[in-house]
Parts: sequence; C-alpha cells; structure tokens
Amino acid sequence: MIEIKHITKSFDGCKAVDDVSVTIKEGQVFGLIGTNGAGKSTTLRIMTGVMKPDAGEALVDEEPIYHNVGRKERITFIPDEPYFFSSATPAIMAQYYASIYPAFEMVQFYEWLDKFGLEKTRRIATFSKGMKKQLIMLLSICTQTKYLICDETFDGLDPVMRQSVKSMIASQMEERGLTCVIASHNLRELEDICDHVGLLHRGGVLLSKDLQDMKCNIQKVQCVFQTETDALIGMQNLDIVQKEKRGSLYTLTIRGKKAEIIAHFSQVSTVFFEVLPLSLEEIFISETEVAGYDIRKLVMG
Amino acid sequence: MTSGNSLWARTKENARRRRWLWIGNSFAFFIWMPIRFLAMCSSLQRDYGTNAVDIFRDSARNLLMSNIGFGNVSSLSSYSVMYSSFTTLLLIVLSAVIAAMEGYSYLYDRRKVDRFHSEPVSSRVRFFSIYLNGFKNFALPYLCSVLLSVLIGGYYHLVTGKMIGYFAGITIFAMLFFLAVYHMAILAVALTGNYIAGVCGILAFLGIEWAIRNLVYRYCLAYYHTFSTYSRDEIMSPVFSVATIFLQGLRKFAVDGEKTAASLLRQMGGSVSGMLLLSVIALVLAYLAYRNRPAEAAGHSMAFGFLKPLVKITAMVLAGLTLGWILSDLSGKSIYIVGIGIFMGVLLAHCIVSIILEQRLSAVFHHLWQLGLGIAISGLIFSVFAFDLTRFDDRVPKESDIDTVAIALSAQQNDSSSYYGDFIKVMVRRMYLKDTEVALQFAAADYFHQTGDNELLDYNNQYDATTVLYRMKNGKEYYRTYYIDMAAQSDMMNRLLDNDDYKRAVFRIYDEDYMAGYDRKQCYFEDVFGTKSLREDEITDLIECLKQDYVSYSYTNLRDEVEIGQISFTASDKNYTDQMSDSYAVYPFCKKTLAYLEKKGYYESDRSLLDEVNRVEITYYVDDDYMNVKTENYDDRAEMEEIIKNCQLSNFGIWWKEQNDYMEDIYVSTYTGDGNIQSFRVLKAKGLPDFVQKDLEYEESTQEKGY
Repeated sequence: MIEIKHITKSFDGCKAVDDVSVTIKEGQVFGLIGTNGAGKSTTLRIMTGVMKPDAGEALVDEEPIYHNVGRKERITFIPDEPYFFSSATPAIMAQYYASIYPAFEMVQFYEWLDKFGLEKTRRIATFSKGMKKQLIMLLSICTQTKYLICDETFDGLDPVMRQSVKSMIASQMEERGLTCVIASHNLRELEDICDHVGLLHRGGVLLSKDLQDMKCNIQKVQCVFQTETDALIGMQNLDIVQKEKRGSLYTLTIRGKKAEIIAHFSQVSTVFFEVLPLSLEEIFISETEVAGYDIRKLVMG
Repeated sequence: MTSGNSLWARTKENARRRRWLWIGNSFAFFIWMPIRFLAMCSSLQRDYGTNAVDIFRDSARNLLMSNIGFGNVSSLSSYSVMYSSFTTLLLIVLSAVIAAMEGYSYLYDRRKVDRFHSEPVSSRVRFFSIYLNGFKNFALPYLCSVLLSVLIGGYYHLVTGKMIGYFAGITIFAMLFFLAVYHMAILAVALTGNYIAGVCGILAFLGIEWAIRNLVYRYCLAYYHTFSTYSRDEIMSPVFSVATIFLQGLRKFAVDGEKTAASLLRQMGGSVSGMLLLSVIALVLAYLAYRNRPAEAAGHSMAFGFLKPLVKITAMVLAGLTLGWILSDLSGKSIYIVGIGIFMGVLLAHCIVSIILEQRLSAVFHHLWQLGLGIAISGLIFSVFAFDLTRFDDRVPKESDIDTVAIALSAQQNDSSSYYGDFIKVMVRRMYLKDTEVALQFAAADYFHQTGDNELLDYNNQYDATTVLYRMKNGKEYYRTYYIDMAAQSDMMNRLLDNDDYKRAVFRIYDEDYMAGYDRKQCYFEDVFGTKSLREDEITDLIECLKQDYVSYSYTNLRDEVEIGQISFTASDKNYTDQMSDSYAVYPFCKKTLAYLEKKGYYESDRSLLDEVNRVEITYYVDDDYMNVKTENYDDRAEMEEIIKNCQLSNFGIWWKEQNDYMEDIYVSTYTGDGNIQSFRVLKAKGLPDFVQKDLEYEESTQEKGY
C-alpha cells in the first residue's frame, strides 16, 4: 500500500502540493488527474522517493520511501520525460535495468520488444517520442516490481499502442497483482483502466474516490413525461445533480442507487425512461460541480 | 543489500559508461610523460651519447626528474618549478575537474535525477561508485605513466635508488593534490544546479582564497607604509587554496630531491598534512551536500537557497575591492575615486551574479538590500586599510618578545652584488642579530613614523628602503619595511654595520666553507686601470686580508671614503653546473688588502689615472632630456685634473652616498691610450669647474633643487 499523508511541497515560495493525502491499495489502478501545474508530478516524485516533502510523509508498505532502498526496490517510476543513456540501445538499457532490478525479466522483455516492433540494437536517440514511451513502459514492467508509477505515460502513444499498453498493465495486474498509479490530465485516457481516481487542483486534492462507488451512486436517466405536471411530479424527491431538456426529452443526472431510481421511475407516469452508463467525465463533472468547479475547464483534454 | 545496490556492481556499471574519460586521461598522460621523455632522451643521446656521456646522463637525469617531479630539482627558484610543471599541474587539475563534472553533473538534469534517484540504489553507493571511477580514471593512467618513465630511465641507466624514493614521494603528493581538487570540484557540483554555476563554483573553490589573500596583500602594500612585500607569505599562507599548498610543498621538495619517500614526505610535513586534511574535509562536505541536496535543484543555480546571498555578497565585496584597488593605483589613492570604484565594482557584481543566480534580467532589481550590504562591507574593509584602523603602521614588537632580527638594507643589496636570487631572503636565512634594539631604532627612525606623512616623495633617493625581520620568541615572524635617512642616522647605521653578526651574514668570506668543494676558482681585482686576474694560490691569502680589513667596515667609512676598486671571486664545478660568485668593495680602509695586492703587482698606490688619460669627455643632458645632449672634450692635463678631482667612479660605492650627492645631468668619461674607458659621476659638493660650465652653458636642473 502506498500512503501519502498530508504532504506539502513548495518551490521558491510557491506551494506545488498543499496538504495532499491519498491512499493507494494493493492491486489498484489509481488515476491521478489534474491540469498542468496541479501538482501531479510533484506528488509522484514524492511518492517514489525522488523528492522529500516539506511536511507530511510518503509511505510505501508502511515505511517512508525517501532514502529507503528496500522500499524503492518495490517501485518503478516512469517520469514524464524518461532519460536514456546517450548512445544506448534497448539491449543496453535492459542490461542496465537488470543490474538494478534483480528480478528483471529479460526473456519477456525481448519478446515484447519484438511484438512492439522495436529493434534491440538500434540507438534509442533515433527513436520517436512514442517509441521511447513504449520502450520505457516495457522496461519498467519487466522489472517485476510491485508498484508501477507512471507520469503522463500515455502521452505520445497512438490509440492502438495505448490499448496495447493498457492490456499489458491489465495482464500484469492479473498475473502478479501489480499496483499502478497513472498521472494524466486526460480523463478519457484513464477511463477504462482506473478503478480509483484522485483529482488534484492547484496542489490540493479535490476528490479521491473509487470509480465503482462513484458509478454506483450516480446515474444518468433519459426520460419523456406525458405532461409537464407528470414531469414535475416525476422529478420530485430526486437528488438531481444535472438536468437537460431537449424538446420533451429529459436527461437527468441523479445521485442515488440504480435500483432505487428505477423503482422511482416505475411509479411515475412516463412515456419511457432509460438508465444509461455514465462516462468518467460525466461523473467528474457532477462531482466537481458540487465543489463549485467546472471540471470542463479543469481537465478536458 | 541486493546486488543492485552493491558498490561493486554500481562501480562496474558506471565504469562501462565512462570509458572515454579513462581513454582521454591515458592518452594525455602517456604523451606528456613517458613518450615525451623518451623522445627527448633519444635526442640527447644522439647529441651527447658518444662523446659526452656524463653530460647526457646529467641532462637526461634532470629531464626525468622534471618529467615526474615537476621541475628541475637542483633549482632553488620556485618560478622555474612552476614554469616546467605547469602542464603537468594543468593536466591533473583538468582531470580532476572533468571527472567531477562528468560524474556528478547528472544532478543538473531533472530527467537524470528522476531516473537515478528513483532507483533502489542508496545515495552512498551511488556517490562512491561515481567517485571511485573518477579517481581510477586518473590514478591508473598517471601511475602507469610514472612507471613507464622510470622504466625508460632505467633503460638509459639513469635511475638511482634515491631517485626511486623521490619519485614515490612526489607521486603520492601529486595524487593527494588530485584528490583535493577532485573533492572540491565535487562539492562545487553538489552545491550548484547548472553548468555555469558549477564552473563558477569550481573556480571559486580553487581560487577564492588566493584571490582574497592577494587582494588583502595589495591593499596592505598600498596603504600600510611599513608593510613589506616579504610579508606576502604571512598573508598568502593558504588554508584551503589547493594549488598554493601544492606549490609550496613542491618548493620544499625541490630543494633536495634525492631522498627516501618517507623522509621527503616528512620534510614536506605541513604541506602533505594540509593537503590531506583539505581533501578529507572537502569529501565529507561534498557527500553531505550530495545526500541532502533537494532533487528540485536541478537546473537552478544553487542547490541550497541560503547560499545565494552568501555567494552574492562575497562576489560583490571582492569585485568592489578589486576595482577599488585598480583605481587606487591609477588615481594615486584618491579616496573619492576609490570609493567610486568600489561602488561600481559592487554594482557590476550584483548585476552579473543576480542574473546568474536567478537566470533572468529582472533579478537585478531584486534583493537590493544585498547591494546595500555589499557596499557597506566593501566600504568598511577599505576604511580599515585607508585609515589604518588597526594601527598596523604603529605596531612595533616589544623588545622583550623579540628573539633575533635580520636587517637588509637596500644600499647593502646594491653594494653586495654577490647573491643570486633574492638578497633579502638570503639575508633572512643567514642573519640572526641578537642586538634587537637596533631594529627598534630603525622602526623609530622610519620616515612615516617620524613625520606622520601619508606619502614619501623621495626624488633624491634620500631614504633607504630597509627590510627588517622580527623573529619572535613565540616562533612567529614579522617583516616590516622602514624608510631610513641613513645620513641622519649615522650612529644607528654604524651600530648595525659594525655588528659582527651582521658582517658574518652579509659577507660570505666569513663562512668556514667559503669556496670549498669547487673545482675551479678565480679571483679578479678591478680598479680604474682595468681588471686583473689573480692566481688561484693567491686567493686564500687575499681572503684573509679582506676579513681582517672588514673589521673596519662601518657606515662612516663607507660614506666618507671613495671606493678604490672591487675584488670578485668566482668558482664552479668541473661541468660548470654549480657556480658561485662574490664581490667585495675595496676602500682606503682596506689597508692589508691593498698592501697585498700591491705586493703581488695588481695595484699601484701611486699610480694616477690622469697619467694615462688622454681625453676627458663630459656629457650634459640638458634639462635631463636624453634627446637634448651637449658634449665637450678636454685633453689639457690641468683641465682634466681639475675635472677628475671632483668626480667619483660611477660603478664604485655610490650606494652609501645619497643620490643627491651627485650631479644628475652630468656624466664624465675618461679615455686612455690603450682604449680603457671609465665613467664618473661629479660630486655635487665639488661641482663642475667654471670653464666646463661655461663651455656647456650649464644651468642647474630643477630636480637638483629637490623639487
């Protein structure tokens, strides 16, 4: 488990991270969402022991990570701009990783390298940005560490590659219980992989929730009422977060359990009603509007 | 500890990525040391190998010593050591700086910091794996180069057992020097966040102490009247200036090169321990800075914010005082001009350093309180010197605290043309006067002490710049310079020159081993009639006469009598590699010497130059202008006699007289039938004969009036 407890970090008098607390359980894929300058990278660097917080602590498996070699062995960090040795090739980098992480899976690495079409003896300096991202992902996953921390890793990847990487992460999670933390400013990117998300804004945490819980507690309903009076009656006693009307079609975002909402609409007079799945974006919109923020302005990628 | 975190594994991996450094060092040291030595030996052997084997061997041996040992160790001069060792020193310094920069500059790149600091490798292992490789990349090529040079020397049969000891000692010292520079460079990198600041930091660590001490020395020289240039070592004694410690140690090494390594290192004692201590402290600080340095410092100027004002204020004060000193020199120490200079220097440094530290132009307008503080500190330091707030010039040691003194007169230095190198340093080595009161008399007779003036305008060279060394009972030593009007202090001067300890220090003829051990000895007597060479078997008796006559060597005699001639002694070994020379003035009070010379036929007491002179030429520099010259010639005996009786031979014994004893714009030359030309100065008290003044249309120059 990774615990970030009340960490604060300032640079030149400006608070980059302000009293942030986050808990990442084992086996989770935690998405850390935020705009540029929200404090995502700083939080990740503190989490991986690269930076020391001004206040608070970052614990990995109940021990502080900073200057802790034993705990760093359990973490692989993929920064937003990965560094490779000049004149290095994928083979040389694999050798380097193997010297650092004893459990590095060399065979698996070369298999994936081949699958992704990357040449093992070609100089990494000649790779495109996307290829470098692919490479760093392969190297990091092959370290076989317990935790994988990724900072805007999907940037620069094409949709196909993005899916491949996601499925690779998913398979590792399934095989060995990999725990993943992915920072991004793009909600849509994380939608189908994260099961817990945290939203950072200006160094603070706006919300941190389990995705399933969020989805369970908020529903989108499209319905048509017979009359306006029926509409008024039908929308009574509902915790409506958002309401949209196009002609006679109402699109309502309602807070509550799905079964309860279905039961309610069954009793009111409607021409039809349907409960639809909510996207991560829609969930966030509803959640953050409660806090007074327009999520569209914050994180729409 | 996993294998990933082992020092060995990390060092091996780090070495793989830094092979170019090892190759570069190998190339540089191999070319400079064994290959260069081999080429020069081959050339020497070609020139001397067959016909002059001894010369080849001596020269090649010196080359080898120079190659490994930083200079010709038979030379006492530090300048020659520095000149021939510069390239080797430079190579060592560059190796150290490049190794530090190249190994630790990843700290300047955020991406690299993210990579290396997120890895499961402890900071200690990471630091020392880089460190060991940097050291190894220098040590192996350097040691191999030294060994190869020794082997080449062995091939040419040059190497002796003692030389091996010397080489071992000097190599250890050179390695210590490398380590000290290396550690300081690492510390500079760990404290900074980009290459510009890093390079500035390295230069600061290596040179700031020297810069500060040099500045203090310059200000002392400019504003303290009694401050002696020989106090330079007191002020310039380094604490952490690596190069200075190294060169000082090298000078001790150079005096007598062939010793065992242990005895050499013992002889260098302070320098070795100083270098070692410095290395250790720098390494500890470097590691602490590295370990505690925040990751976010990458790309910034300084890793630790609290250092910024310290760096800036130090730079401002140094720049202000430096510019102030330059303008002081140019403006004749005008306080207002110097003040402007200090302000401009501080302001300039504030602007430059602010931009470097904050990496933006607008930083010039930030933290203006630091600018104010820089000006205040610079002004205060300047005031200490300009107004002698510490009363330096008034400080005279108590007689009860003084052990012995050494007194070196400028007049004695000019008169005794018998010492190569630094007369004052030689006197300090030889002179231990127990009459310490005479030194205090010199202090009391000093011009500035007596008049309270701020400046001495000595157009007539009335004052002798005398250097006094006080050796205190507590082991400390102080140099002072006093400006003495010798003519007004004749009792004091007599007391000094009459002192037996003084004479034994100044005149080497009193040394028991004078001219001992030399294969070739020569002696010359020079007077107005020319130079005669004495026989070698006459030298010993002549020296005995001189020693007896010099008992009467006193200031009064030197001032009142006119020098008759000079005796010069020279000696050398059979190869002319070791030489000495000495000369002694012969005055009328040197009766035994003159009698001996006359007996041997080298001197005629009743011989007059006038009997042989057939022409006297007088040159008059009108208004002291070397382009405006009048010349008159005289061949009438009466006229020549009248001219010469008012003159003194110009290269004999003028130093004990005051310059204004002679006419500045008149020079007299005599010509004999056999081509002997002598030059004379006209004594002012006697003056030019009227007929000469008329012929030359002579007018007294303003300088003679003492303006």
